[in-house]
This record gives sequence, structure tokens and C-alpha cells, in this order.
Amino acid sequence: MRIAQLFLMAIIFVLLWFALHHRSSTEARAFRRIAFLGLAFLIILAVIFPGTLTAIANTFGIGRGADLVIYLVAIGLLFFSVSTYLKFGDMDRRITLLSRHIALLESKGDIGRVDPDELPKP
Amino acid sequence: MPNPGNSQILLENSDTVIVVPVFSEAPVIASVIDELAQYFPNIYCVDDGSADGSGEIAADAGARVIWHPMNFGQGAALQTGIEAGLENPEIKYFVTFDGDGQHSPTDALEMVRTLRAQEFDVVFGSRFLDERTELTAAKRVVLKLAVSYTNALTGLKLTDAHNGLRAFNRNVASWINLSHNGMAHATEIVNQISKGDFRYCERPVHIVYTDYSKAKGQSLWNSVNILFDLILR
Repeated sequence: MRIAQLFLMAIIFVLLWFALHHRSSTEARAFRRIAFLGLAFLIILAVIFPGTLTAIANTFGIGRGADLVIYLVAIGLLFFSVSTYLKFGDMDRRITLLSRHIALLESKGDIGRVDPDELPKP
Repeated sequence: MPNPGNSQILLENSDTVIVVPVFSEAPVIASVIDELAQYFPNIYCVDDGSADGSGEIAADAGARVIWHPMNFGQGAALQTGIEAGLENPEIKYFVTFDGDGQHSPTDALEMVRTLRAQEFDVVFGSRFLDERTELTAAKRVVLKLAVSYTNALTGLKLTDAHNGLRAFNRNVASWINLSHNGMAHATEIVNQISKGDFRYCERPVHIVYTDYSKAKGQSLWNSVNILFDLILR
């Protein structure tokens, strides 16, 4: 196996682990921002100096700079989907808890019933 | 209307809450409530954002209805009903009962009687313990895979993990906290109970697959979603 393959797979596993365990921590936010800036920097670099990127790619055993960008974008996309999926799950849970609290208050007659038609439509 | 011959049973069951999660069951919910009301005085319907007036029908049929303002899924609806029951200190036993008419109230009655003997904290319904329930081969295979997965995960030994009919006492009701919004709650309930060191058993129940419940029931594809939900959370 080539260095690039090992390296990319290692990145995927580290990111997945990170997404699952540190989803709302300060480190995770900082990490996401660094990754975002890094990717943006790489893309700019690729546009201005296509040759440099290929040189970097070659040191990892990847033939072309464009391929390196594709791999990194694929990893970024995977990371983004997982963390978004988890984030939506967390949000769902919070909305559910809030709604349950309201529903129980309503059913005891403490407050009036929420009319679903009055809720903002998504 | 309750049958006067059952007044003794009704009185006896005043310490029991039947939690019925309801999502768009307008054609059948009234008869489900009517049948339950023969034996159980406390029926808590959790209307999970139905758009077809199921909640109003259930309220007219005599159930206490708790309204979710949006659809949150069956697990969330069960949790809401359980919490409503816990608010009443008189309640000792809880039964979860599907709103689509596939369960039998007499099975629920038997399960509560089992709990009253104080030997068990939880009674799970199983459709595989007798020959009453008729299943298609595909459904049988998927349910068996699901139960193998649940048993491997929890260390419990059940024959039917995805059965909506369950009965448990107040200790278990306070212990469970269902957070899954999707259908994965069936596994989640079993998982949480396994961590609480409760005494459990299974009782045979009859699942009636009517054309209505078959049309409404889960597609087998949903087992893929459930598995995904359980792994990634």
C-alpha cells in the first residue's frame, strides 16, 4: 500500500472519531475552522500554482495535484455530512424535550393548546 | 362505553396507564380506545402531530390526549405518555399499546396481571411464543434478525424485540428515557432496561395484521434506517 492510501484512510478514521466524540466542544469548532481555512488555502494555491500542488501530491505518492484536491474534498464532504447529521440529531432531541414539556403542561390545562396551524411552516 | 360487567376489572386497573402513541390513525383509533376502555380506565393517547384529527377522535372516545405540536416519532410519543403517567403518583403500572389496532387489550390485561404478581418488573409481548400471529416469511426473517441484534447488544434473551406491546412498573417507567426520535426506540427500550438490572419476562401476544395495519405498517426498508440510527448517534 502506498503512503497516500494509508495517510488518507488515517485521516478519514481520525475525522470520524472526532465527529462522533467531540461534536460540540471548543476543540471541534476550532478544528473545523482550521480545516476550512486549510482547504481554502489549498484551493487558492492550486489555482495560482498548479505545479506546487502536484509537487506536494507527489511527496505523498499521489500522481497529480488535482487528485490530492479531490481526495481532500471527499474527506471534507464526508466529515461535513457526518457532523451535520449528528448536529441535526442533537437539535431534534432538544426540540422534542421542549415540545414534550409544552405538551404535558397543555394536557394539565396549565396553558392553552398550541395550534399546529399557527406554527411557522418549515 | 365500558361494559358494567367489567367494573371490577376497571376498578382494579385504576393504577394502570395505557400509553397509546397515535400518528394519523383516524380510521381505527376510536375502536382501539373503545376496546381498551372495557378493561382500563386510564388511556393516555399521545397524538404525535396527526393531520387527520386522530387526537380529537381519541378524546371523543374518552382517552386523555396529549398533543405533540409536531411529529417526533413513536419513541418520543411513548416517552411523553410515560412522563404523563409518572406525574400521577397513583399509577403503578404502564402499558405501551400501538394505536393501529394490531394489539389485543386482553393480552395487555394478562401482562398487567403478571406484573401484579410482583415477580417481574417488565413484561415484553412476543408474537413468536405461540401460533396465533401469522407472518410473511420476509417479515419473520427481518424480525428475527432484529431480535438477534438486540439480544447481542443488550445481553437479554428475547424472542421478539420490535413488539409495541409491553408492560412495566413504575421503577422501570422512571428509569427509561427514550431519546430516539425514529423507530429505533424499540431497541433503545430493551437496551435501557438491560442496563437497569430489572426482572423481565415475555408473554405471548397476538398481532392482528389487518389490511389497515399492513398498509400503514413499516416498510422492511425501514430496518435499514433503524440500523443506521442505532450505529450513528
